[in-house]
Amino acid sequence: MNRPGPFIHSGRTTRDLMTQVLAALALLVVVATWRYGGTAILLVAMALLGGSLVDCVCNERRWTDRSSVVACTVFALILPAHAPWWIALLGGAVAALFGKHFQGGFGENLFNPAALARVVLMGVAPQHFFLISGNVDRISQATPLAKELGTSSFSLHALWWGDYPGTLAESFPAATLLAGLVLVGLRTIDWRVPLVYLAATSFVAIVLPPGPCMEGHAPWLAGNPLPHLVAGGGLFTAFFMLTDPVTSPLAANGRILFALVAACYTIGVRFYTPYPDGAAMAVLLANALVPIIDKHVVGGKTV
Amino acid sequence: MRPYDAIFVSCAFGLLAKMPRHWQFVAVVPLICQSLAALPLGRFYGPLAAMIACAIGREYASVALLLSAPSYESLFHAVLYSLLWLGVRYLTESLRERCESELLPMSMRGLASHLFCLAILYYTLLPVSYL
Repeated sequence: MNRPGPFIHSGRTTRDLMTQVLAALALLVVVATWRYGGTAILLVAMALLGGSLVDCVCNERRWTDRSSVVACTVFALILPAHAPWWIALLGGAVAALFGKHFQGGFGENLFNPAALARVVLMGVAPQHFFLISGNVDRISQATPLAKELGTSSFSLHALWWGDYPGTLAESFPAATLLAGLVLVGLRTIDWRVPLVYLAATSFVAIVLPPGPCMEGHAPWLAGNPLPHLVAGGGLFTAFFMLTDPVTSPLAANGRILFALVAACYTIGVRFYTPYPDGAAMAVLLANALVPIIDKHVVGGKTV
Repeated sequence: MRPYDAIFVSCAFGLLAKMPRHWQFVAVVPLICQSLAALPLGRFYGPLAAMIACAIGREYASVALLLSAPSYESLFHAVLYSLLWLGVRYLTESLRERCESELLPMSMRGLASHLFCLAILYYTLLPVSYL
């Protein structure tokens, strides 16, 4: 702990907080369903089923709990809309098993379960996350940040209205922003993390020179913070993944450093590697640094 | 074996071997290998690099030997992988307390948890291998 007691109970339980997060996620699922139809519901349902099956085996008391529902819904929302149903099922199971039960259960996990499931499956079956699919007239890929798209850029309108193929959470970035701001307003999540992450992402995207992967392929992504904020996992990561109280540092100053690390890694991956998006990886890297941050960075309000 | 894979395999071996006091010196092995590769050593390069790695590593000889196995493309790559090895090794050490925590299931405590964290770091840092 960063500060000694006595501690005053805020009056809100973990259950209350998770209900609020679930309500915000439900809004994003509704928006994704409006955009992609039954595919979105199928992916969310499969992820929840995968998580529940693992809970059923590992947790004798309850066959499902709210933490798994949150983790599996978050995982489903960071899946590309064209992902097959079995990826969602497998991912839900991986999130619950490796992201929760193998790490000591609810409240003890070091790594964000949804980010962990996404990164593991991205390593095992990259074709379902990166490769362009569909016929030549209609390209479908994981995110408009994919550099192989060439030099074609997206308009401001298209970016804000989610008028491009991407993950379920990218269906309508304005809805993600709204849901996130509501959670900040309700004090369900710490405002510092999304603010620092989004500000640092913008700053780094402006100042970093484009890498060889970007030059000649997608130069419009360099020096322009907007696509990095709106497209890809930026907004969703800022409000729904980095703010997980279990996998983020205790102290406020630590959380600022945590968000900075995540922002730098996200943009570094986008600028200098062939990967279109590094948000989920950035979350895991920042999670791995939490013990060091908690040990060395103290000060500020303990959240 | 790619240098990136060698970094993680050697870190996994490092969990099994007794950690010497100055384990950080092992990080210079990629730099030494890169320097040796620039010399006209021919078939003597491999044995010489292995001997120097073992001499540097001492108790960590297995770890150092694994770092000397891949060929590093350039000085930039040698420096990059040296830093990556240091970073990953430091991170795994920082997670030691957590990996041995009683909160973890018995089957996952200790080495299993360390390897689990290492596997996650492998996928997390994979983009670095494309630099």
